[in-house]
Amino acid sequence: MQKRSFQRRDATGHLDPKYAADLRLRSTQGAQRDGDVAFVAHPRSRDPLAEALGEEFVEAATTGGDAGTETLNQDVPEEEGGPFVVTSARTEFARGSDPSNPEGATREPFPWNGTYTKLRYVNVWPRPIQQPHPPVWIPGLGSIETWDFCAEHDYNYSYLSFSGYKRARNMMNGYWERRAALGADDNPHSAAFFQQVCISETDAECEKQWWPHVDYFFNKCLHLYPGTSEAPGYRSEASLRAGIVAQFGNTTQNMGIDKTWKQLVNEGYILAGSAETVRQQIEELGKTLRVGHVLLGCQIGSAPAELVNRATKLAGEQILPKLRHLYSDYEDRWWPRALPASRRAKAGAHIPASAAAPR
Amino acid sequence: MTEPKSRMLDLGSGRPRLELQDAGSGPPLFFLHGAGGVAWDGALGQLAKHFHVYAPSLPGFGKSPSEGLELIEDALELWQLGFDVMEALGLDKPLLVGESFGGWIAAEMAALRPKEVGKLALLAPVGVWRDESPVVDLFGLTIGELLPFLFHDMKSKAALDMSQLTTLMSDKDDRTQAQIDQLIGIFLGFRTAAKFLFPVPDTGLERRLWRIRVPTLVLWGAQDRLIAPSYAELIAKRVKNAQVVLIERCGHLLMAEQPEASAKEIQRFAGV
Repeated sequence: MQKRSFQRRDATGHLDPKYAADLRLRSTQGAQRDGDVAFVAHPRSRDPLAEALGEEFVEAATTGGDAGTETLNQDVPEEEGGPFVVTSARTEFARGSDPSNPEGATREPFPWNGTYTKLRYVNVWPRPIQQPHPPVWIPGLGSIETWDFCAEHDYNYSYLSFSGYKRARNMMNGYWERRAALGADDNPHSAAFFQQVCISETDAECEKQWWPHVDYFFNKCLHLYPGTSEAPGYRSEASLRAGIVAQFGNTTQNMGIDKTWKQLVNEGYILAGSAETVRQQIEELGKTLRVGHVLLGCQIGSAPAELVNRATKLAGEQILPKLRHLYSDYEDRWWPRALPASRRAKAGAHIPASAAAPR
Repeated sequence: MTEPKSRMLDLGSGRPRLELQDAGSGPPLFFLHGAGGVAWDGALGQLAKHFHVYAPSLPGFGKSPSEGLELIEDALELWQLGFDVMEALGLDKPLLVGESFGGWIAAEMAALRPKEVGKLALLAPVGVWRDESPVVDLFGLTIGELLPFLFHDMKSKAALDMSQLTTLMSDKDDRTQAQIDQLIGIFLGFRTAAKFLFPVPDTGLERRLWRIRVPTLVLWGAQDRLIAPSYAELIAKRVKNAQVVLIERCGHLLMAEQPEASAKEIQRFAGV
């Protein structure tokens, strides 16, 4: 990943043909250097073309540009080991087979002999810059097996919910009880919770500024068809039993659909008001759920960038500093550490010229 | 009918633990249930007056632990499991009867080891597919939405009984433990069926139907809305020794909606 290639695209985001040719040339040289006769370097060796393509994919994923599919189709047949990213092998992952170890899984291509998915070569991209890897956070929606998995591997469990912290009490109590039963510590930083917030300058302004976007989110975006929201096989028997009410209940009610602003606020679906009002509620959230990390959803529904930016600034300047004391007596093993200054990117250097230009 | 007896089958270590219910006396009838599990109040109870009925429950159904599903990795292992149970029970060439999901397993078993089945009765089996008559996706519907696809007459006793289940789907936390178990049972059973039948219940059975050599009855509800009755002829045409019987005023769940008529046809076919 020596070279970024944002400037290698035309105005519509397509790969510059000369750059594509350069990629192919580099790959050929790489293959020849390795003594391979094939045009594409052997997939089990380090493969410049695969890495270049991986870079293309990462770039596409992070900028919304084209992935170099034409290059891929021409040069790297799937079975030769393209830059695969496997994300759907939950069963094997949960069984704790070797690839659950990020160090091993992200360094070299490996065969994946799963029960239902078999891939001769898996080459995970992007590879983490950090050595051996950044702290791992596992998102959860209520499968209690995930608690065991996180405790076993000392990963952070992040409960993602749109229903707010007041409805999460039972679930997080279960998490802490399960950790205790497994002999894991009660470090609050091992858990995170996603909470949507609407922050304004004053309490009075909040509803007016945010309600249209909250309404849009809960009453338009969150409509889930009950027939497939809990399709058979999504969850284990234990998880079904743990979540019996939420899962078999009236989905509309649980998802916060058809509720008024007042109901959504009172029931904790959203934390809304001035920075101080929201701060108090986040503190209560942190204490009642015993979570050391809050994933703050400062954006909701159709909220425009300007409103979200203001809210984010208020959160950063007026809320966060006043919450740092919470659980500061526990070691946070899950907070990412910054790279050494010499290895850090310059601010803004990753933004492509097209995205930075005013619209 | 004498009350069915229930016991757990031991198929050896590393194998699923299955509940086996049996009732009645007479020639052996090996029954494979549909996605709703084993029920004796319909045709099965009637059949137990003339046969010794053996009805295993697949993992997730009845008292069979759902974890057993992990031990059946693919369809072939499921069909083989059917024979394992027959062997454990010492059944030799029984009358093999399967309804819907179980009808598919029964047909596949008869195609896989044709010499080990005596006669075969398929009750509205799933497993064959035509784009012009898609089988309804029972895994993508709520119970309330699914019911009209299962019955011809929504006012029949069987349909009304099953409608009770929809009242359990509420936001209130006032269910009894028995009701919770019943709901979870439905989900776990469907999970087992979905493992083999989702998303399109076409397992290639049609290509194997010619292998079935035993006398075969293809029984269908004339008003089946879940799997069109036109599949009956389609299947019978490919099975060498098959007869089709359609039961009038009957939807997909033959044994529940027309228990007497279904049992009578099976009895006639078996010559018992």
